[in-house]
Amino acid sequence: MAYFTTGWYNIHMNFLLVLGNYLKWHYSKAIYNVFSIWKNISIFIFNFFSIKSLFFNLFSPWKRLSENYPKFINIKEYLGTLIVNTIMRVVGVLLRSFMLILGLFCFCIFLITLPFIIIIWLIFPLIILYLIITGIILIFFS
Amino acid sequence: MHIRDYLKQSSLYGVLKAESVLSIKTRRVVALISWNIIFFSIVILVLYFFVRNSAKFNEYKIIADFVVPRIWGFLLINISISLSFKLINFYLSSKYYFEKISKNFYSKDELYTFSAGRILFAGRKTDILHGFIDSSIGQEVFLRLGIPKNEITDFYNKEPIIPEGVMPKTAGDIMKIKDIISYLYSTKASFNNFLSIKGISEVELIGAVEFVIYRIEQQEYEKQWWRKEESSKIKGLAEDWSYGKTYLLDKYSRNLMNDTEVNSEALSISSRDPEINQIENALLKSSGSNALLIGDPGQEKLQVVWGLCRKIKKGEINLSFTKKRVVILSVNLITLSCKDKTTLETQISRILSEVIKAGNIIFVIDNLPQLISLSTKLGSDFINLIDPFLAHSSIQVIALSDTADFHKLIESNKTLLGRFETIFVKPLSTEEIIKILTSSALIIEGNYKIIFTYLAIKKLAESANYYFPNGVSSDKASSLLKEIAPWAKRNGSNIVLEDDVLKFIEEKTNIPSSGRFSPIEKEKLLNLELLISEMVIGQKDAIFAVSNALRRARSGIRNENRPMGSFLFLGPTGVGKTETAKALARVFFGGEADMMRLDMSEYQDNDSVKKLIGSFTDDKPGVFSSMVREKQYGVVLLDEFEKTNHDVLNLFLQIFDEGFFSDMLGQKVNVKNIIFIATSNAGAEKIFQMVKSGKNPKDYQEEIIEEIVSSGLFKPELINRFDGTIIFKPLSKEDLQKIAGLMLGRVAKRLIDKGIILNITDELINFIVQNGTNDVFGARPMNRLIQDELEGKIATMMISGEIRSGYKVEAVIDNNILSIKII
Repeated sequence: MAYFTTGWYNIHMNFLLVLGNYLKWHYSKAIYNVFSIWKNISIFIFNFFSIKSLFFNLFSPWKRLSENYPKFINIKEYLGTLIVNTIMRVVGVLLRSFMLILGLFCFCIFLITLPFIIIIWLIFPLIILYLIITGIILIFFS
Repeated sequence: MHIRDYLKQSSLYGVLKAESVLSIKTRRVVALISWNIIFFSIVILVLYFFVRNSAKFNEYKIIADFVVPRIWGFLLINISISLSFKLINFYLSSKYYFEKISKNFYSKDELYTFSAGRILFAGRKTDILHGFIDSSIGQEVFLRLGIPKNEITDFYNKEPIIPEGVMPKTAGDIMKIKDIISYLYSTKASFNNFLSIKGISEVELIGAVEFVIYRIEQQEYEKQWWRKEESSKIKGLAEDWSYGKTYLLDKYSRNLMNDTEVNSEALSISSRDPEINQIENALLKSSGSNALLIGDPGQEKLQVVWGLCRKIKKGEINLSFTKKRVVILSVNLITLSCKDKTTLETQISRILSEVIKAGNIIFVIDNLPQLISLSTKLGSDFINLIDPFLAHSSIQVIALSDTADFHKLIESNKTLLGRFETIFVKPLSTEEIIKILTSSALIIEGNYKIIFTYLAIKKLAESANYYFPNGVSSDKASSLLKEIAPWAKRNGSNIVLEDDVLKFIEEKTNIPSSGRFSPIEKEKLLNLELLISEMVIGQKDAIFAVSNALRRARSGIRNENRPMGSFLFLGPTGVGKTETAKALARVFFGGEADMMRLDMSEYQDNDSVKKLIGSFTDDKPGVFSSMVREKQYGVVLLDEFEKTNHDVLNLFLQIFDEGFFSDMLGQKVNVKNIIFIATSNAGAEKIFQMVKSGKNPKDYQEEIIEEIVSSGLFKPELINRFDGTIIFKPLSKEDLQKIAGLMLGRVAKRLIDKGIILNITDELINFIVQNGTNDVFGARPMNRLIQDELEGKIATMMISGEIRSGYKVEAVIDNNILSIKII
């Protein structure tokens, strides 16, 4: 009976209460939080590589560099402008494609990390427990 | 209900408990220790990895076999400790995080917010008051109120613990810290008294609490590096690839999206939302999508644009604005580089063409009126030049303009005005300025390692408008905040209190702050009548009135939105009206030279107001506006006030009423720290007749004023604006003798400097009174007489060598002729 009236009892009860509340959070709201963080990072990667903008402007001239076509028919000038404008578009397509592939690759890699992140989050308390137990075994029983 | 039971009903109890068991300090210390162990364990293991196969090491193999697994054990345990603490931090900060992002995030069953819970938790073994003082929030609140720690401890120890029977009433579903503060303030009389003695009101207490909560939330918020807002600050790698380059525009402009004000969460101002929404709507129009922001000179207009930039970055705005760059054109740079019409027109056209071609630019002109003036000066038709661009559907322009310049240069031009949606930027209220200052203060605190009290910030916000009427208050307040931090550091202070702000403002403006006196000033204020009476004879009422006004002003109980005092001195010539003003300047404001004097008879023409406040067309500053701008604290004597014209009288009607006026450029001039003394001979004849017939003019003051009003000299509303109208009665013979004595005393003092002693006799005084006064001019001719008869004769004798240093002289009157005798 003495145990139930001592400070130790209170400390143990408090520890259990805190642990209980923590675990409740860990397996409910926190999963949503982890998902939100993952989502925010995904959006960041998507924006960092400007994937949407690259996709919709894939065939636009590089940095909008282009020449105006002559107002009166002049084949030589017309062809010259056509070549310059085509080159600008080709340069644009090449560079954008490279960045788009790189971006999509990083984005996809991160997308598939979600299940792993969630699994790691779910087993995180167990990992900590495992580390503690292994540590104790190594210190005292090896 | 007991606090403990109430606390346990909430699901937040566990979090509070966790926080109490593992306080921030404990968590930091444990984390630091375990990181150190991890580091050293890894170092040892790496070393072991490299040396384990060497021959020399074989000798220590048995020891190594025993030690290495244990190091591994320590390493694993410490890794688990570090990870656990990371999780706990994440757990606790998520509670703050939710508090920040939505104040109503809490569900009803949580009963209280996390901050309120921390106070209740701290008081679970005592009561809420003790809990508040004990809690980290409470302690920081007292620090922010500038109350020393020992005083809090004394109060804490003296205050009996009375466990609560009833919990504080909540305004909403859950208990917030504000509810606790209101409860403590209304139910704990001793707490109320303790704060009241320190001059702290409930509003200020709540302000300080909000400041502390804001700081905690801001700190927790910044830890959340994964927030969308944080990641949006990083520019995309290929963001610009689809938009045109702006080579020329870049030379004359800067990208506002990179400004600190855009990227700092602490500097965001939510009260600017209405103006930002107006810009958004204006820019969304299919053509002529331009906005003109009009406001007082200063950064407030730019603050609105920064707000727009922030919303674009965060994606809190119409999708068509995503990836837009807000670029501000510096008209100053254009002015410097464009010296002729052709260059200006070419550069402007090229810049605007670049903006259209780039396709992702919101173009801001930092000073449209200046650009119009420049083009007019160079003979260019600027309006027609930019009109096609403004009408273009692919351009979005935000032009900024000061209010005065808008009325002068833009309003009349209907074509130009038609291209813009005009948006007036409202000045922020003091409360909103305090909010801005508190967030800026946190940044400055970090940079200077200094603490601002809430009361100091509040005082700064209030002072900005009061002492610096020109420009926008929030700008001025922010600059003061930035200036005071290094000032406080230089003075060896780590905490900025309200008193420091007053001292700082005093140093900056040379205007003493209300309610703060040096011992010398205190002595002067208490004996003002006596000190002035030594210089002004026989006008007790006037002396009392000005002394009282000054005492009211310095003690801080006067109406601070009006001048420090305004008096109308009425009476015949030579009775001491001007002398009273001079005496006041001499006694209180440093010297006679500190008195600003305007001879109002010089302002009778129709352009008198222009002479006083300046003329925009002539580009001449005003005499009066320059005078009071240079010296914002002192006495202004408006001599012969009745002689000026009605427009000038109307100007002073406004000045006496509001404590400021606007000069030629529309800039406010502050006269709230000035005593105005207007003198006038109006009604002198009546006063003289009254005295002659044995009446005391003071008893007939109303009658005299009525006569002045009916004569049309002053309007009744002007007379009513004065803090006091004082009738100066003609001087009696005894008064005149005293005045003569005073004046001769001054001559004697000057002669002493030359080593000559003047013996002032009754004979001399009577001679001066007899010949130096008359019914019309009172004591005024006295000065002239002393100069001609006494000083002149002594001077002649000094030049001829009859009188030299070390001589003692006396005036002898013979047959009403004055001569100088050496004694």
